Amino acid sequence: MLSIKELRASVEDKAILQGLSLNVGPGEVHAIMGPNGAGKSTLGHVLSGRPGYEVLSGSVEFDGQDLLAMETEERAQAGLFLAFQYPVEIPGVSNMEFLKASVDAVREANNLKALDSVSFMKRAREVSKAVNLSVDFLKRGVNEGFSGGEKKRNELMQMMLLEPKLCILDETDSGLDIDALQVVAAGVNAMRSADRSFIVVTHYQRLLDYIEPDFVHVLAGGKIVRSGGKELALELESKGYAWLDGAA
Amino acid sequence: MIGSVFEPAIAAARSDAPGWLRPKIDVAAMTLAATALPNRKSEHWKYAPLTGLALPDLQTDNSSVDSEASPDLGACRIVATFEGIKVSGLGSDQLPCGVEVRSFSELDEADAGRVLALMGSAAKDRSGLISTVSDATLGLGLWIDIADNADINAPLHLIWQDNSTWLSARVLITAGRNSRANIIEHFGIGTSLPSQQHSVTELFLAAGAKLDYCRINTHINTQTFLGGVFARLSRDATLNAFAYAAGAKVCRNEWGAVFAEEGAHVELNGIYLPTGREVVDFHTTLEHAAAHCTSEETFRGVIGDKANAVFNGRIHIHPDAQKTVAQLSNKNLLTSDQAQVNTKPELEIYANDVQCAHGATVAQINDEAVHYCRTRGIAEAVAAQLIGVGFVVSLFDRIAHEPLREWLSDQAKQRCLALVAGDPSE
Repeated sequence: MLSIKELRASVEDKAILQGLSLNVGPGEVHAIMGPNGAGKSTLGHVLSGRPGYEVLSGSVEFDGQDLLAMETEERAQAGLFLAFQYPVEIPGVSNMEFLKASVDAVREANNLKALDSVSFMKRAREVSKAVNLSVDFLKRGVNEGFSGGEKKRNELMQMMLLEPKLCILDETDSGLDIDALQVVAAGVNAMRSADRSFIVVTHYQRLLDYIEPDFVHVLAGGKIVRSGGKELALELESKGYAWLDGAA
Repeated sequence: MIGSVFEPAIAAARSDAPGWLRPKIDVAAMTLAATALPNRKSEHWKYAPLTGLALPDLQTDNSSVDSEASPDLGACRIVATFEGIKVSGLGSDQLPCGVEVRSFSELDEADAGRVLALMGSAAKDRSGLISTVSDATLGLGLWIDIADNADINAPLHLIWQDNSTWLSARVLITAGRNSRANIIEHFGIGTSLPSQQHSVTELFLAAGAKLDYCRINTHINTQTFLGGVFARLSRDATLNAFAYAAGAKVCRNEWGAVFAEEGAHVELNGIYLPTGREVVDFHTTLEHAAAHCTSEETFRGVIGDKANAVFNGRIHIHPDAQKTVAQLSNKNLLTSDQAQVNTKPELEIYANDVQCAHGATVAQINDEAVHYCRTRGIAEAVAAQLIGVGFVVSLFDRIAHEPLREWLSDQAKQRCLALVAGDPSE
């Protein structure tokens, strides 16, 4: 599904990723943990093609394609989805209009027939219910005036509508109370399937109580310094990240 | 001098206009003969001067008009051309009951006297130039009279058919006491002829009258438009006005309203969407001359490519206008590094018990928002279009007549795509 080899990337001439390698197979859930400034969010941004994030070397293959050669929208159309840590507000653009434009674009790129308005509305109502957001949020401006938790649930709603092959959740748990966390986790778990993979970037082990990962990686100093099963997350929770200093 | 620029138009007005208008034409022509073309040093024209303005040779070309292009707004259509006016109502060729539309040339002496007394007595433009050019070149004049207590459900859609290179349009709208009406005035539709248009519309709202007035300017970038909408409101009258300007080499509109008596209200909303090398210029003046009047003015613009927008909004609260509530807001979004806007809200307050607020902002398109859209599969141009439309779209909600609201927001969507794409001719 995703194969990252020796990826080096910088932001404003500051090297952040320093030879990161990661393989994610179909249906797998990988958790990436690590201290502040390790490059966790940078990984998501580089994979999504965010301007200002420069890839210096290395390769990323996504579903058989050279991801780094693709435009941001092409990556999304090919099935890559990044749930933002800080979702962006777009005043005046209704959530519904935004979601329709997004679903239309992705379907068109995949030679699928556009959904008619009625079917789309029905689907949008279903997913908003699934993430426990009132349908009124569909009429409001994208993330405009949403609380932190509402923004995260809105991200999840987009993910459910777009049905991507690879979902990257960038600290989706930050700023969520325990109820919202459970809603988000239930949404993610419902989407787990044999051909859909997840990269769950998180600071805390807590999320992983609800979304059980197949693999846990520790990112420090711009590369993965340790990988293991879900028990690694518990070890990190009890020991913290300080012991990694030597390893990084 | 500006008089020499308009010489052929003045001569045409002198020969074609009815006798009762000639003295007005002569006075205005004399003023123009002594007035220089406004340049960068002219206070009210400095960001969009008329230097180099020339009058095109008068040509009429009906083949250039696509009469299908004007939208069906569920309104009674009044199409005005050099040949006269043609009414196509809803289900009949009749105007709704309570409305009369007459050309200046067919007025009897009494009505001519009434029109003459009203002309120029509403607000005026800042420099007086637009009104004076209109007086001096008076071509097609229409008087729309709404009877007292008339309640006109269907809007009147007045379409100035651009079948000639030159047009000077004058409209007088008198809304009778406690009348209700909705008038849409539309310029620059369905033609590719390079043209110059001048238009002054004066609105007289009698006590308790409620008028919705929308001015639409949808030109192409070889057309120049200079116009004004000037209103005078009597006691408890309400004007809901909307301005939409897109296209045009230069599109200058001045709006003025005089609150002559207590309890009057004006809501003025406007949207401008220039791109390429287009210039859109709005100057507005609200003269709060009476107490207990309210005004709410909101203009928003999205400016693309190398286009230039000017917004100057003035609110003048006279000493007697106590308890006035006046709000003015202008927000701008630039979609390119070379687009520019000059915005200047002006408050002049001589009464001590009033509530006034004004503000202006200029922003660039948010790169993060564009990126966010792109991560959802939306192409960059579509993302910028969504964001541009989102910036202005809330104002369309203030248009009560649904077909107009739908059509204009659709126009704005198409424009926003062009704004982002830039001018293909460049």
